[in-house]
Amino acid sequence: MKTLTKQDTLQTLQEGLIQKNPILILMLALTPVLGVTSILDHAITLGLQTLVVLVVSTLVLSLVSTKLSEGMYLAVQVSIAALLVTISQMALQVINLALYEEISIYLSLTTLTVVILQRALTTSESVKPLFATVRNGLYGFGYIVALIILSIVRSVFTTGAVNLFGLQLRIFDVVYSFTLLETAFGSLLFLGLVLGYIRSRKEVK
Amino acid sequence: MITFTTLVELIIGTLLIQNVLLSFFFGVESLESIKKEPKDVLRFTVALLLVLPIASVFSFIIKDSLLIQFDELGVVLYDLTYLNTLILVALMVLTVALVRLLLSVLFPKVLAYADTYLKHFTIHTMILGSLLVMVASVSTVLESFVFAVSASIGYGLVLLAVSAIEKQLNQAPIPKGFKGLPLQLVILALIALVFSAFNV
Repeated sequence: MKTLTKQDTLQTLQEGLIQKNPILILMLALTPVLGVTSILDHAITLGLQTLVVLVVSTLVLSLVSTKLSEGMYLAVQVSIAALLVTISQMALQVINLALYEEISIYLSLTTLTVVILQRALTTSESVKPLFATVRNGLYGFGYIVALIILSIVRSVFTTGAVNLFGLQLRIFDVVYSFTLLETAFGSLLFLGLVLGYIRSRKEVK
Repeated sequence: MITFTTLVELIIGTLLIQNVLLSFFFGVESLESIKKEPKDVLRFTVALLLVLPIASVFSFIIKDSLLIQFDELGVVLYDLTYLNTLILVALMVLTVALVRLLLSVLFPKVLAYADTYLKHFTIHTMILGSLLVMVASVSTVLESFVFAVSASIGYGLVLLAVSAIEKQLNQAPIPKGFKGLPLQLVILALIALVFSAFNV
């Protein structure tokens, strides 16, 4: 059974951030990404929720996985993720109800994001629960970093500033109105161009 | 009392104005996994129509009879809607399993036709997302059924448009990196721009 070394940790972090980034390279679970990246507050909230649920559910699942039959595995995996998402939603309702109401649908979809990420990151080799948890956590960190970068770039393009929980950092004054880029058209076009550019760069290399 | 006008508004709204793929981006990640032929899009839509309306009706009944209750004066007796995610996810998993089981017993040919996509619906954002939107927006069982059917057909129509446009565009000299999902997202963006004209 594989155990965690410092070299493994650094390599997994590098993979999660760059080589196998869940959003920009593997292109997984794009629905919440498209839904929340227009506002940085939303992106950070959803990213943190995904990271916490991913880490905790991986730990729980890896502890009980040996006792599960193959047919039951997916149902248990989805149930654990849904339970943790429900708890995190209740916590967010207490912390910031307005924020919760704005992105509640995408917060619920985190259940499927977590399951999709876990299935994509599962390897055939047997690993210790702590190893699996840290590895998935590092990939989750790559997910949240990509969300934040996409959200910052979109915010700057559309408003000329980055807004974070009431604080504003203005990069430039907007001369023209880019309201079209804040719509569904903008979300899809922006992500399509970013993914296409990254893939093209990989082809060149 | 539900009227004919309400139903027509709901159908047009779900098909065009608030299309689940173009407005909420549900199921966008599965675009690449669906093969590009129209018959495959039709197969996917049939699979959706087998699952989503049933899940939608069950979800509405559970929400209306178990999750929230009012007394005669309209005062909330209890409200368990914070369990929406957990219940809808469980319902989605159960409905997919139930539909596959029933089809395997009653209509094995239909199962063979649609099973390629049916087995992926357990973790499909289109199903869960549509159920979440439906639970928040409709008020009768009939509306929940009509919403689910319209959402499935609307999703299928957009997929068909994307596959047709992509087929034409693939004959153009597009950079290799843009082929697949990036190109599909750009096409979806343009379709979303067209559909946004309905939302005036």
